[in-house]
Amino acid sequence: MWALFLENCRYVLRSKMVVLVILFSTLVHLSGLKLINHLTVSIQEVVTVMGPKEAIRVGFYIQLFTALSIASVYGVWMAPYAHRGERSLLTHVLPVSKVYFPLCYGLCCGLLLIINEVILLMSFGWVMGFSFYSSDIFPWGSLIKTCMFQTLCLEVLMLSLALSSLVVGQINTVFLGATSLFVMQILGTFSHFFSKDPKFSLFTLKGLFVFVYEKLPPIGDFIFDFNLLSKGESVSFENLGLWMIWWLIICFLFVFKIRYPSNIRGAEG
Amino acid sequence: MNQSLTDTVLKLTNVSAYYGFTKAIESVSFELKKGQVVGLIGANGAGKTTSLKVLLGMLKPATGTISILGMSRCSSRLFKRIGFAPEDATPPEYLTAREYLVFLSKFRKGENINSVQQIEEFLTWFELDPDKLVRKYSKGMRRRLILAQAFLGKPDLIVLDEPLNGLDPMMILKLRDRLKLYQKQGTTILYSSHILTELEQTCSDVVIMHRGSVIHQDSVENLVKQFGSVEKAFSAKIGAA
Repeated sequence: MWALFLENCRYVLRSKMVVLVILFSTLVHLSGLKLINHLTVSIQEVVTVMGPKEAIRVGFYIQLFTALSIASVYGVWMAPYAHRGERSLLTHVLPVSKVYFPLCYGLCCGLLLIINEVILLMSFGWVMGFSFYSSDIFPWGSLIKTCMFQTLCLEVLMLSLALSSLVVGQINTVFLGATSLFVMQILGTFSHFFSKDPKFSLFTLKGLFVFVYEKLPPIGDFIFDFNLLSKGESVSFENLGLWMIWWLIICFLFVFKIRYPSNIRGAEG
Repeated sequence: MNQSLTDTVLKLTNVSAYYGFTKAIESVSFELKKGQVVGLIGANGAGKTTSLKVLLGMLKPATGTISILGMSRCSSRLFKRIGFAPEDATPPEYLTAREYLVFLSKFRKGENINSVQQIEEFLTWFELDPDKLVRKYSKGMRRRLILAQAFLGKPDLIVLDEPLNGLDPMMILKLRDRLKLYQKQGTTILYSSHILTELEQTCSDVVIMHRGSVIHQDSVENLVKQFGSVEKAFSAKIGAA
């Protein structure tokens, strides 16, 4: 497992993914935070000056955008590398349990996400001064909780994209993934409204929809949960549990998929 | 018969497999004993590569049983004892040849190998540039690296799928010598190829496949005695099938 993990880290390094992550993340975080800090917004003669508190909230969302990009690239292109085409045959005969593959990919992607999160943290210091970390308004608790929650969700997303890449191909996965995120987000919003309806009952079409939706990965709830955590509130254990269950399900499906790389038919026989 | 040839290393019994709804092989049965070098021959689409994929657990058989080194199915533990060189595979392109072999040796490490020494010997023997990235290798060099990794760790069973593709004549001769050396040491080799003259010189037995089925299995000696050459035997058997 350790050798496999180190090998994946070498791939991440040699493919220049780390350099790209650092450059991309630093550029987006720094420019985003600099823009928002001390920004003056005037709406209908009400003038608001954005301060560090607002910059932190925006920083969380900037970080989400970069983390989503990193997890998507890793999931669509990097994790399936050893399992695509004829290379999958060489990977298949490696004397290592197939279970270790998703775990290694998860660890590698996790490392990249941690780099991204460290860059967010450093960007706060660069833009607002390093003494900002010790100030009362710096939300250490919500920052750590948000990053942990987001890492779990993005691990599920990364592995789902990797699995989809192996099944339908990489280009299809990009569009399928984007469409699924969009649709699930809309469904999540509907589900929120439906369940708040005082006449809500499980024995209706709306009820059935909510019942089924609640068993799916809570992608639609993700942005609501993320928002709650970034404000220092907590999220439901149900959603956390669902994310963990879906991570296990996707891991199992991924292992099942790489167990029989039979769809790759050689030129011969 | 030599005592070392009595142990069954690999046995396929009535194995059938499908790609989707297309039947790829049907009731394939053959057996390899310890120290045998068996050639798997057949026309394009005969089911050679599919048979190799099934026996290595890459494709689930629809029917039949497989026994490989005493186990009923391929597991990660079993792969420590099997070397496999697929036909068209490319090793990870971000690694050098040495790094790739070192990586594999961490998994294949057995009591009978000294990894560092064997890796250096393999790099020299297969004429590989140890510190050049695989990305920059020619097709022939990649092929040699694929073969090198199959022999790494002195496996009990080596499965080679069209090993001569992309090799220069000198390397073909060297490979022939290496196969003979491994055979003497008791390694079992399953060798799928189109080049029947080469098989005649290298293999002790051949399995002839046609349209997804095994139509004949015999020793090279018997086939040569009966038909004059493996090539003629192949033509006769295919013609009769």
